[in-house]
Amino acid sequence: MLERVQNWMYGVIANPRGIAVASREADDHILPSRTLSAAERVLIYNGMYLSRFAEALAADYPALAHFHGEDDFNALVARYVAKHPSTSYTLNRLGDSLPEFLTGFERDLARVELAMTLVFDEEETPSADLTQLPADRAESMRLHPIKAMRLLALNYNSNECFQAFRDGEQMRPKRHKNYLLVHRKDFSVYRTPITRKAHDFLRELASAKTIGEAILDVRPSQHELFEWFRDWSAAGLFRSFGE
Amino acid sequence: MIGIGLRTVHFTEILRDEPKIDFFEAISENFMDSGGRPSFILDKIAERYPIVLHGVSMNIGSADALDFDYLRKLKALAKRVNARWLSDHLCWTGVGGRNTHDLLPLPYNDETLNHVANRVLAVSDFLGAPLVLENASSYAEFTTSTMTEWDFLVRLVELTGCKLLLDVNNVYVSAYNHGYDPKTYIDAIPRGSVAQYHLAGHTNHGTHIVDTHIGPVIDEVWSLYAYTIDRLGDEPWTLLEWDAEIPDFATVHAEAMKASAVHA
Repeated sequence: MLERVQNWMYGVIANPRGIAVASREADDHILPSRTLSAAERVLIYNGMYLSRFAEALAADYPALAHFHGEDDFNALVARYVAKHPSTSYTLNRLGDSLPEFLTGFERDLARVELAMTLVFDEEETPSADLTQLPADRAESMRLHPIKAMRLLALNYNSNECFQAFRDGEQMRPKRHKNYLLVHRKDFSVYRTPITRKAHDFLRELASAKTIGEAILDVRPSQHELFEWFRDWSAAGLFRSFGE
Repeated sequence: MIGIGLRTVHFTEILRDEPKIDFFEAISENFMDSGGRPSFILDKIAERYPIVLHGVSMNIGSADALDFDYLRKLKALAKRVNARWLSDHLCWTGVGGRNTHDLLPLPYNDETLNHVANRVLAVSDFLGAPLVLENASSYAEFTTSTMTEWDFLVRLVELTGCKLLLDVNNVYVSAYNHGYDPKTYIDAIPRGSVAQYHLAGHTNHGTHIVDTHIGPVIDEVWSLYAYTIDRLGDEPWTLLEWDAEIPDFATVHAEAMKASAVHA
């Protein structure tokens, strides 16, 4: 009995056409009040369902929400939640599939915003001191990145557009292959444009290849290697190293 | 003891000013999966203030199986911040593995009572402490209910030994929505069964009230709170929630401290 009534109520609440279902069936399950019919009472919950999810997704994807405008974004949320209802105890995971739900520039922009959210929430891991890498065995070492790091290969200028949103300026999407490092240091999230080679090198290291293997695969110059390790060490990108 | 619901917008003020307040209540789900700044700040605040954890996703009234992955994370968080107790709501939030993230009402009958009581006992056993359950606001009542919400709560306390988080605003909201006297509800609650009180603002739409936690506590709820203190005592900790259009910490603090005048 309990499961049946809960499935019925979920169906009314989560259904964009819940009004029709409620009008037909609410009297079987819900009592009227002095001021509201049974259908009107259960539809209070229906009305709050999508607005709650829209609020949560707008918090995680503020630039995407701004790019859409309120009405379009709410319509997007309704389509998305119908296909990807929340199955977690936390709303923080609701938007994890949103980038895959989108295409083109919107997908790219959503990937940047999702990476920022994930990096913000990741477990804090202390950074290793890369000056302690043994010089004579450096090429055989594997570097283990901190958890709060994501690498993105993007097809649009979505990072610049995100910054334009932050600065209160207009977003002007342009197709443009580019690479982005998103990481956290001292509880602040940073977005750093990087070269394709730097992206590929970091990706190799993150997949547990040795420094030597990554050099063979990506073939950076000495100057590039020097600059990368200087910058990544300062950014605290690695939590440990070992053979 | 008077406390305030911990909200992100107040983090900086709390750490900087160390305001005089007896305790903070943290929303469990906001910290269970976050290893970033919110968790760091909660740990800092827990070093200075007593913390109670308040959840919104235990789904204690659902027909679904209990989520022990959730409970494991909750237990670990409680240990980390030395939570004085863990509370959640007498409600269901989803079914069939889908979560509405709303606090949905239950039909109050023997089937539901036995179902919830068994789950409260299982959760309390797993957590190693009595669960504290809050009366949620509701906008609908079921045709299959055979008892009042307060009778259900009293019987649940008798069956499980759980404690109550009596939300005085929620009593007021539900009484308005369902057409009963809120004092009847308060009168039914046994002295000694309450661990904590909640106070909050709400939104009155005329035909019904929605529990929005917006704005200050209205005079009628302060009066009901005074009636509650008179009947059930001021030993339970009192907490103010403010979740929409949240003002600066000083404003929320001033609102919470009005409770001390009721205690005096």
